[in-house]
Amino acid sequence: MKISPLYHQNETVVLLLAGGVGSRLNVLVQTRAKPAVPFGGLYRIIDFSLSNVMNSGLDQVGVLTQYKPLSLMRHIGAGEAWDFTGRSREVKILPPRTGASDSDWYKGTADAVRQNIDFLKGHPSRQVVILSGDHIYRMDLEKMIDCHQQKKADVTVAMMEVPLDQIHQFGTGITDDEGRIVEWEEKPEKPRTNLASMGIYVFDTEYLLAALAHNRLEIDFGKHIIPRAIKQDNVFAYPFNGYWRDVGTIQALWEANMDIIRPGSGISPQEWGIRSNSETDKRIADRCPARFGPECRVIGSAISAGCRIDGEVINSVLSPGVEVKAGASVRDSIIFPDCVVEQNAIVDLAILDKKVRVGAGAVIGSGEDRQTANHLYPTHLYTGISLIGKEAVVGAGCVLGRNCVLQPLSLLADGQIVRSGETV
Amino acid sequence: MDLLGVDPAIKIEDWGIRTNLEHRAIRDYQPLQTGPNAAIKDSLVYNGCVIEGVVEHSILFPGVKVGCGAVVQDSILFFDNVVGENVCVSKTISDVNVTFGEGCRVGWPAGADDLPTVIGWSNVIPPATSIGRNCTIYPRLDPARLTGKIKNGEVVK
Repeated sequence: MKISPLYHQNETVVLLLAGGVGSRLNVLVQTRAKPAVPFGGLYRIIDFSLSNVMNSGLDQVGVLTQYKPLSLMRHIGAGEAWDFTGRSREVKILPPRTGASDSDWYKGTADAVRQNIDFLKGHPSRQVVILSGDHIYRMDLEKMIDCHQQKKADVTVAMMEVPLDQIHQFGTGITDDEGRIVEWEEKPEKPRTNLASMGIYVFDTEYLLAALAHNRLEIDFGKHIIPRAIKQDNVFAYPFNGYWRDVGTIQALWEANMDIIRPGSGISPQEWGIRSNSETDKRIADRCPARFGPECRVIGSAISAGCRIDGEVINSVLSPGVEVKAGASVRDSIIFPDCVVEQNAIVDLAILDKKVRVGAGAVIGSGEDRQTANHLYPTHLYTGISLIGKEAVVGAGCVLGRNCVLQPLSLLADGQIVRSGETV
Repeated sequence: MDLLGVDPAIKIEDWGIRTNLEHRAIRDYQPLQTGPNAAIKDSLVYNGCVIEGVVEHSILFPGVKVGCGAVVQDSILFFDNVVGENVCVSKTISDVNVTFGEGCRVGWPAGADDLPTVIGWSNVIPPATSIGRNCTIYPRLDPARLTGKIKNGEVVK
């Protein structure tokens, strides 16, 4: 095809998959999609993927959403925060569309891309990068694309070594000396390799379009498209070494937040050039410096602008606008924007969603019983972390044990007791 | 200093003052971080600061680093000041991009007229330098001119 000089062909189009339900994040995803969950004080999870795209010099981005997309759409806006606006740059939200014959929801990662073939056709490109919007990492995608082109691959899959006891959660590949993937096992029970797929793919655009057209029942990249491509075509691994975390569980989310304040953990959003959209949510960016009172104690923590600390904060990550009043203590916790911890209250090993109020003298995380998992969600909360939903109010003098869940907007009357493992 | 205290005269949180967050990429700093031995009292500290030492009754602009064993008191440190280990900074206003080498003492001892010491922008103060109170250090000086002991009230141009 001859390309006219007025016709702008992009080298690379990016599709960011942000449609997963993420139900293991429990009350944190009751009103928002997983990629929109706050992370590291000032960021949302998707900021890491979006910033990687920006820092790799790519500027044609489609974000595939479906589940509770409003806060995500508000956050991405027109993409100014990541310089995705302008006549030749774009970030476009791609929600599922109801068709005449298809049911509307995305059935899998490949199905989601298939439903947006028109976006790919409307943005002609040489290759398509497919990423997930819920990982915390930094990667130069341009290098991966270079590797893809040098190997003359049809598909390149970013892969990293993970501990053998975790490999059952991933797609795994066995490579030959040249980096070609010769065998593939999705979530194997008995691992034969420690090389795991990070869910980051570079496809030749023509190849991707043909692969998606092959069989509409192939709805997932890891389960269907990639294994068939390995059997029939040229699939290479792109090796990645560095910090990478899937924060799809409460435990993983908590640990990755703690990495922000742990020296030498390898994560540094500022050095990585991670940007967020600080304009949404009541203009977070315009907050004053954090104010530290005369009697406060703040150790090993990350504190955002607009916080007011008169009590004690140890080993915790605080989003903007959090107040910790005199005599109160926050330890090993993650506090989302605009929470208030009143005088002499204790928050120990908890995640507080936005605008939670902890009344005077209340205790969240009482006692040492970290073993009693949450009765309703034993696979979500089992290490002692308690979850307090958005805008919940914990009355003065309340005592919550560990592994507790407070639903959003719930109201605990003064002095109420919630035992370890209970959900309100 | 009217910004500080329990009931500050300038209630900055209530006044709705805005700045240009594109300036010096203020927007892109991460939350401030405090190390295991940090102590911050009666101060305003913005995102991007990394506090390993002691900060008392001071105002720290974005990106200021205070090393282990360092003490900053009654001072105003502009953007991206770096206070090395075991430095003491007292009653000092320091403009942007000033580095205080390890073991410096600036703004000590308290003097007769007791005005603040002012450090111009982009100075690198060599380790173990002693700068008194009510001193004026002009911007971007050759670090060689800032060694040894600079007495209270001296001006270095």
